Amino acid sequence: MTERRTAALMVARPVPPVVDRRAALRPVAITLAALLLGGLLNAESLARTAESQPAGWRHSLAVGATDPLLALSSALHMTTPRAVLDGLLDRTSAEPVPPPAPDPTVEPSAPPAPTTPAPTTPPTASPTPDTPTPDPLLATPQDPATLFVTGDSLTEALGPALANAALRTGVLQPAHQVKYSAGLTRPDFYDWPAALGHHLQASPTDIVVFMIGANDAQAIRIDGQWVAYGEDGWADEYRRRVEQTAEILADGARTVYWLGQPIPRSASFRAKMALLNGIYEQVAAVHPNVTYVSTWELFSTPEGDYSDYLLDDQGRPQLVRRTDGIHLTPTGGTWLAAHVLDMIQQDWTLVTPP
Amino acid sequence: LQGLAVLFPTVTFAVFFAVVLVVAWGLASRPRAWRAWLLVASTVFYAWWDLRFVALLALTVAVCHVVGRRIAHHGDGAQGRRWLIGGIGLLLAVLGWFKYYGFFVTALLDALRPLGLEPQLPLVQVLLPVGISFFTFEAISYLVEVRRGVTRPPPLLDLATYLTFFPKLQSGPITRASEFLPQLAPLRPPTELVSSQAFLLIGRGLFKKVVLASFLAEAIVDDVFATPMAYSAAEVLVGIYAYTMLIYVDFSGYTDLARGLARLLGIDLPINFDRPYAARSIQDFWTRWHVSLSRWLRDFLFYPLARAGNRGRIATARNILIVMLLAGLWHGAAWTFVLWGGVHGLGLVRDRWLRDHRRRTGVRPADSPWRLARQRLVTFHIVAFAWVLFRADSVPHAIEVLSRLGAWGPFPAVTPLLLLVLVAIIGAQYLPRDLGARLDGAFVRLRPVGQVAALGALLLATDVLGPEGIAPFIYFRF
Repeated sequence: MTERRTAALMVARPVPPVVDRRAALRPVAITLAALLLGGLLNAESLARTAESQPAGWRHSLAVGATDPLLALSSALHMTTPRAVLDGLLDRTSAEPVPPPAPDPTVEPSAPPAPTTPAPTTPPTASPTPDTPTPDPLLATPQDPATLFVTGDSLTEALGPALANAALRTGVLQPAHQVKYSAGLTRPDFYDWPAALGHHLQASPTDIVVFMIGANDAQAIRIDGQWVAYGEDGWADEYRRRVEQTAEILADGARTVYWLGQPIPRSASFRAKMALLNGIYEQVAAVHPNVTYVSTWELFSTPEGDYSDYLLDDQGRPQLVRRTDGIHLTPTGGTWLAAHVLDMIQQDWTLVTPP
Repeated sequence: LQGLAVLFPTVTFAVFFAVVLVVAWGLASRPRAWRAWLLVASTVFYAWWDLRFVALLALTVAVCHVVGRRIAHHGDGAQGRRWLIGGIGLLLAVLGWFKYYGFFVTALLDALRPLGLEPQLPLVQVLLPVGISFFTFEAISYLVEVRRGVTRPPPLLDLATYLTFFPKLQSGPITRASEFLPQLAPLRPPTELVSSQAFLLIGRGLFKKVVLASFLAEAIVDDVFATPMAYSAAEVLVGIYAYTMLIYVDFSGYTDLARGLARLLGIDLPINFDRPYAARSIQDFWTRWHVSLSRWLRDFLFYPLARAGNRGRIATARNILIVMLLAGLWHGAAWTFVLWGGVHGLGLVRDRWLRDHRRRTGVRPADSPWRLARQRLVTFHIVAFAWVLFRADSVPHAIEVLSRLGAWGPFPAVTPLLLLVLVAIIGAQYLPRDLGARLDGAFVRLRPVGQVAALGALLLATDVLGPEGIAPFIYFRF
């Protein structure tokens, strides 16, 4: 046996433990006390996080645990340091500007006229110079169109891909914002209508590409009561929220592309997403400047099934879906971006620079 | 939507760890029960992400247990060698299936297509188990250590506790059995100094991950790498520097947390980072960056390769390149990682040839502050630009990012705060080595109430300065 092996065996030989439990208690006590102190100081933030949990046991457990913590923190005035720091750093969660309330008496109008004067001789808009009827949806290097790509994590791959494709046109100015885990069922977690209204007021936008839904097959709160997905009233309430969001988008942008969900791997989830897609399509149909873009077929096999890999134009297999069978890979995002850009180009005249 | 692994900087994990710590303290005088408790805790931790993959962990433990005993039984003979090769082959086959199946099948199809061959190979996407690259490497190191006589096969409970120990399970440090197993017996509850070091490590890790990494990602990195065409040369350059810092604070922050949590449980994990961006050469960089991986590669891949063949310059260079290309592939199944490994491999070859040349000729340039600064600057930039390959989705994406370095224009995304943070992180690489020990000393002198107050304040500051949600650690996908 080598010396090295002998030494190792000597090290590994068990020795009866001699444990000073009181000394060992110190780090345990400090850890627990620090966690409690941290919890009290961040009680409001913890309570907000707890409230945003999906309805069910997790929500009940989280709220049940944080409510007493918040009560104790408030009683001891331990929420004050956090409030002061948030104020100093301007980190208070300011309420977004409320969206303009849609007027139900007004019929949906045609797309608004372009805000910029149309060129007298558009290079490609009209074949007959005598009757200049320029396309109102025109983007030129001098007057580019602004594009806002937003939605939940499904836009994580789409957003950059579409932004890059838009930049290559030279006449589209893209912006991309993803809000993870956010849908229309949980405005307490993220209020899409308010956030979109705020954004469109603050940043005039010509084109909006919007994609949500994968987080929405969950309970919805109606008049303070949780209604599980599929129960009576769920679809009606969800449709109402989609309509509200579509109104805001239609009012705030010149053209809106509301993207449906791509076919998911799970059969049960597939049925849920198909239902949501139906609602999006029906709501989009009543807004002239809102186009529903189906992505279901784009990510289906020729037989209409789900597959992680799909063949590209040259017949090469490409990985387009992530392991969860829901999200898109960067390649999937690029495919979808090309599809959406095609849709935009059908509506808009993009006068690309030479 | 997400079946995510439990992240250290979350309330869920804090509650989990508090329970584990209290029960572990209660079992401190009963080592077997204590080890069993750690195994249960690690299993729950892993099952939280995906229950199915607990079976994979169990398989790894079982392979190590059976093969390790057979190797020890046969000693130095050929039979033991066959068991070693078989065990490593099985572990690598499992890793290969989960991590590289899709990559190799698509690469094979791409290679055969120009020849007019299009075999119908099944294309399935396999869910990558969190931490598989790390615990597979640990398992391999265990078998090799048993073969070399450095470690004797421990009881199954000890082996399972070692391989599954949750603070290091997801992203290391890659710990050797000879380092870990002796710490299980006798049990050593942390002393005041050790627990103070643990708290400092946890605090530092939290700040790096939650505040610094999140800030850098949001301030510039995510946007520059997502849409490089929207950014000017200065913005892209700062974006590359920022990613260089981001991957450091993210991974070293994770390691700090892992080491701090382990120390509270009485286990010392090896260091993984030692101010890597102060390195003078690529070789020096790899003694400071992901140290537990680089010493694994050295001891279990490079040295065996060197022993197996001749030690000439060309053979050594070839071996270095093989090791680094595989190191790249270890990080991910993509050509970008292979190229990244290749860049570092070429850097290591150059360093070695330079060193050999100086040895042969006896000519050694005098050290001067300027020479040192130049070496550090050059090394830093090689490392930083290689990170572009690491971050990019594809080689064309990396080229697109780098091509923007010629696009002059305004740079509104480069803010004074961003520059300040970058300078602070790079400046921290040049702080004296013993500063940590001095901080330990200052913290340990605080009374317990003072330590609690300091840690509570840190939790408050981290939550205030951090984002709403925490992104997974970058190294989780490896």
